[in-house]
Amino acid sequence: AAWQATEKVNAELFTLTYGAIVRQVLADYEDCVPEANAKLDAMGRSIGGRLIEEFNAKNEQQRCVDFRDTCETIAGVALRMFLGVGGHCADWNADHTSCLVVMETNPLADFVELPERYRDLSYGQMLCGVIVGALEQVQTRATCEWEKDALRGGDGFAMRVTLVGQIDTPYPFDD
Amino acid sequence: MASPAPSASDRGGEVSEAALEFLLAELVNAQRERGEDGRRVMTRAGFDVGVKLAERCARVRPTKSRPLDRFLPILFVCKDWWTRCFKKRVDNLKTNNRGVYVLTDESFAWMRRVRAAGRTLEEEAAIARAECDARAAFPCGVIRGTLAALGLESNVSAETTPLSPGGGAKVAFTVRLKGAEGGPS
Repeated sequence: AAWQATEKVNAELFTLTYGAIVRQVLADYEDCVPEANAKLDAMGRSIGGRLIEEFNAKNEQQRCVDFRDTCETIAGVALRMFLGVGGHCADWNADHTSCLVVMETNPLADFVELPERYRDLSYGQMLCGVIVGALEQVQTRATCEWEKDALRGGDGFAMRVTLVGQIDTPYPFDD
Repeated sequence: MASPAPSASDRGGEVSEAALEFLLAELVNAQRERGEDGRRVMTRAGFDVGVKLAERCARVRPTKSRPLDRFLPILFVCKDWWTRCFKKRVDNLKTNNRGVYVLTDESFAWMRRVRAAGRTLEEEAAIARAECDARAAFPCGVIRGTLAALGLESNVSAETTPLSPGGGAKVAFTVRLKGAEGGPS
């Protein structure tokens, strides 16, 4: 339902714009891949912090009850709402603190082929940052990394999301 | 190399407007400190995107033997390109018939979530204005790149008018074709 209520734009423009940003980040860090990965991650966190408001405004969903519920919401609702792609959770560990968020397609990575010298570039790292940044806003500390990345020889796209802990914050009276 | 994943874009896929606007805001954030240089970087990045976009979607292309009428690429941007990117046409197109075109969008999609926190209304208005202005560099580049790919060299500038703090902006893009009066020669 949230997807229908969302203003949409052509994915091509999004994909090309993302590509331009990755190229610019590489240029800004003079092709230093680890620094570029870190910058993309930081940009993603910054987006995640704001994206959560948009998400809450468009979803009347109740608070997620636990981490499992949270990950299902990311995979099943948030990915669809923002990127128009379907996803699901897989490969949960026994105590439900870590899972794979599998994406059916990845609009960030369309028409992309990484040259050999960027072998270690985590091209879609911004998306991992977005998830970590958004979860932080709901008092959840987590890590997120690509576990399968088709740009680096994986079969498809999947992120490993792992719960680190809850963030205790006083109620934000002056938000 | 792995077999390519199915492409969302090739299927006419869509993403949320918010996602694209968040990207653009981060591009601006990353270049903010660099002033004029940052502006050039964003225009350049936009130009590359415009060229690729035109290559992917333009039905009309110039050839040596059949140069396009100069007006066609402009119409292409106002109608096809805008519809493809923003699901609407440009709201208004004006020209002096001497190579200067003004394309107005009453509520430009990439500025709907501009945040302006300030102590006074005036301060917020100034911040919103500066932010919209910074965000305009990239689309100026995209338009210029699209026109370049269709064989028209131009300069593109933008005038943004925030509608209210945080409420988007009206943007007038001025395209000056190369060789036009008051344009690059």
